[in-house]
Amino acid sequence: MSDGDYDYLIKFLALGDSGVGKTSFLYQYTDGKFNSKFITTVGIDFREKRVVYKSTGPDGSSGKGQKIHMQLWDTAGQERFRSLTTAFFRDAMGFLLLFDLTNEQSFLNVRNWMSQLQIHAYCENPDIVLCGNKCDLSDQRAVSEDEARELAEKYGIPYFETSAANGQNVNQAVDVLLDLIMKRMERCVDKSWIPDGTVRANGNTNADLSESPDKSKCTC
Amino acid sequence: MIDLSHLTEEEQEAIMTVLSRDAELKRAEEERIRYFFFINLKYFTGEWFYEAKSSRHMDKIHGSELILASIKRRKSALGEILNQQLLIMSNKDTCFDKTFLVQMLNYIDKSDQQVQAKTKQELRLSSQTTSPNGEKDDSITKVLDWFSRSTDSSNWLNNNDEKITKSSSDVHNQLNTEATGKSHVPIEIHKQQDTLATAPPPLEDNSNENQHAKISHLKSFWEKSNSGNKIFISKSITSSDKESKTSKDEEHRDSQSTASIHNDMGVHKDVTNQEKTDKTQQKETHSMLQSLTAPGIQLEKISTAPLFAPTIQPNGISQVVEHIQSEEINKKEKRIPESQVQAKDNLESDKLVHLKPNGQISPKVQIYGSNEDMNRRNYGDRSPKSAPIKDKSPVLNRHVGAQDVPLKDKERIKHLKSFWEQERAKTGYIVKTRADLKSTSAKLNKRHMSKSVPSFLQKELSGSVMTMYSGDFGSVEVQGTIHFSIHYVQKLREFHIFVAQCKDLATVDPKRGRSDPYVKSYLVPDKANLGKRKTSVKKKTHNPVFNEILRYRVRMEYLKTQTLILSVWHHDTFGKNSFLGEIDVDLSKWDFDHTQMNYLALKARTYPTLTLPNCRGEMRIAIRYVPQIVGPNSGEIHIWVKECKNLPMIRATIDPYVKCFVLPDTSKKSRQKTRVLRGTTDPVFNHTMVYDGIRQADLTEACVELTVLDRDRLATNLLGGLRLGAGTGRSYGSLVDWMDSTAYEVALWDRMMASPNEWVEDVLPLRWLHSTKTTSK
Repeated sequence: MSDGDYDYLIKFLALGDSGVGKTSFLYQYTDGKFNSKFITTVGIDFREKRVVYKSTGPDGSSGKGQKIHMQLWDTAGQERFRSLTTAFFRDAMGFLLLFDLTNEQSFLNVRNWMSQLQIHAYCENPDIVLCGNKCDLSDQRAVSEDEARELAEKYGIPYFETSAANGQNVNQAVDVLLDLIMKRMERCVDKSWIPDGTVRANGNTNADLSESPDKSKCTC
Repeated sequence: MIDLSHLTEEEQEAIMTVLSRDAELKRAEEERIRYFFFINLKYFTGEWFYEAKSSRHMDKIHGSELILASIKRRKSALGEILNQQLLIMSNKDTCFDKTFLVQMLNYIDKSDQQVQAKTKQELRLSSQTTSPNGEKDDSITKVLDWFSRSTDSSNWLNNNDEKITKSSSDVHNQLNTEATGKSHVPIEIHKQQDTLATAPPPLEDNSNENQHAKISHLKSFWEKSNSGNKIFISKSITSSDKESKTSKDEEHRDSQSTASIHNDMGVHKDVTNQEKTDKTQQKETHSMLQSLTAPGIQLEKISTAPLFAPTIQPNGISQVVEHIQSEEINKKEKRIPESQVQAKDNLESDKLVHLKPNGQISPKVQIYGSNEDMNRRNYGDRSPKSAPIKDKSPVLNRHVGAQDVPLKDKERIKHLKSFWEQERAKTGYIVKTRADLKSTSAKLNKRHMSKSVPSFLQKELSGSVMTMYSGDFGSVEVQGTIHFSIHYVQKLREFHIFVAQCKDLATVDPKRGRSDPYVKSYLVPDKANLGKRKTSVKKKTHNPVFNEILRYRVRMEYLKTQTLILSVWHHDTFGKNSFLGEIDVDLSKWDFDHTQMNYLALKARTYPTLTLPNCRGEMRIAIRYVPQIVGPNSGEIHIWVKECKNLPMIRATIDPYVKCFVLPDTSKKSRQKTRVLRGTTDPVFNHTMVYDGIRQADLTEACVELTVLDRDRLATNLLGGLRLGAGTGRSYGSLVDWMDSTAYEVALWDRMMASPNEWVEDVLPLRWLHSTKTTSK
């Protein structure tokens, strides 16, 4: 699969409590399939996917398509693998934090996961997308959408109600995360020494980009 | 380290599988990035253009610079320029200076007495104040006197073709202008001059001396002066080196900022190979014409020669022949008839430039001597296009065609690539070894590198510094001396070692009576992993003249913590290179103001500290002998390799494992190995090996040879070993070199024999095992 014919290698990591649906979520994203059997992940695993990313410029124009090779790390939620999985946090550029909408405890643990990320990720404020998974099980829902959104807003991260079973919002969540990463990359690359006319990741040239306000603290 | 002992075997295996998949992906990514960089670098740096240009225009001069030089030449006053130049060059009172002086004085217009006088005055003063050698002072003033007195037409020098001299002075102006325009160049010249100066013969202050006598005096003067004069111009290569380093960074377990640019230099290889015959010294110019080249051009090697090497004609007309390395653009000029140029046996050149009456320079080929290098550089009469620089060597070609990559661009590219890597620290699991990357990059290099890719892109530190750690130095008796000088160029932050020559080296190959020496430099301890630098190989000589600069891009602070080792080796095409001697210089005690030539006698190998006891680490090991249980031949030796500590870090990370043989049995059956532990100098193996069929009688004849090896992907390197045995030097009646157990090893072995069935344990220092045949994989 990795034939080198891509423009960027982007690494994401899915984390969250055991059983929230991380593996299924990624499997749905990469293969479009769902397996309801529960097989706990042994420590760590990853899947790969090749996508084309087209950014939208500040004026809404669509940029050149970039071939992205995504490496999606799937971590075990179980406690006993915690030390192992935490070690992988530093390698990911973006995170998919999942919780189970039918399991309140998994939602409450989101705070813990967030603080883990703050400590172990590559920087203090990495790009994260919060996903309330299993939204198809509406009658078993234990976490309201509002409180979930509220939490997401508190952290300043996007929130999606997803379903690995029927694929709802799975692609969107990952696409948003990818977009965040690509935009962050843009900002962090020093503009000063890129010659004018160089086509950037989003397809714009130096001349196109105006001074974008640096919202997120870029630690690079 | 993370404690994952709570995981089951199966779980660990499953995780390992995932990790290996990740490693694959990483590898592919590395290759992709490397390829990307090399290709894109071409565009970013304009390399694509300069490559194409160099195939047509061998010189590197931009059109604008040529015009500028031409204009300047007309404008500047002869005297002033000469003045400046002479002052600079006379700071070091070397024979080169005198050579130069003679030329300069010769060119000074006879009528321009004032300038002449002034120049001489200043020279005298400067030479008096700065020259450490009184004799040299005298000689320079003598020269001055000699020439001042003979500036009339009786001076044989002035019998020159006036036009020629004038034009050569014009050229020199041109050069000087450019040189002074680039301020670091002349300074470098004077600093790096060889102070090996022999005083010229005392010149009679007698204008009545007949011409012949003068000629012969001067002849000897030139010859002597040519014995050691070197000028060279070095330009810095500001480019940091290989991209491969950046990708390697990612793999270093403990690397910190992976985007940092390594300090070491780019290519050190010589651009030109100055072969010399036994009789001759080099007289290639280097030329200030180099300074005419575009600022971006980097020329790694500095060829050396006095700037002007006059030839003495039998008819008393001397011709100044200027050797330059790069061609000038002008080709239309007629050449000075060959008859006027005498091929002296001490002249060697790849290209001669004859000075034209109108001051233009044209390339002209002269082949002196018979060495093949020069033949290769036979450019042919008129067309620079046919210049065989390309054919000569990829290295040379690269240098010639190479453009410097402004540091800024390289930084940017690095950023693009390593945006994420910057944030990362080490990964939590096994990383590839550097060897993996090396092979990858080597593959990539082969795949994508053409001859014309700039050297800094292709640079991989040539070879390894493994020879430093090997104990096998051949059996050559060390003799001879090495002449070198050291110079730290503050402005470029570079450490230069000018290797002039070696004298009286040992003969490696007694059969054929030849040595093909080269000089290698490295720093110890090389925490920055700068690696070694090598000169070219001079074939079949015991007195090789290199005149090459080996450089390191380092800060002075780091240098002061290092010891420089210059070692001379004989290059064997087929086998292992043989050690011919070395010297070491403790840079912490070195006076960096001393940039003169040093002549040191070569020493035999000063073993690096790795041969001191306990510097290869130690092994905790337990052994026991179980006497025959069933039948007469069933005794067993049990060897419990527990752990090692403080293994030598011959690489940034080592992957040790232990291999065991029971000598004299070197068959595969006798070989047992532990697993390879990654990235540790204190591996805990806890591995027990059992050898059966050992009778009691065998215990005094056999030897358990344990070697701790470093599993590098391409090679296996011996870290250290033990030989447990009786240490008698004999096995089954024959003298063998592996029954060489040390006292400790013998003691343990004795304890084992004395207490059968019981474990005896000890911590033994590892040592270098000579002639171990068991270090193959």
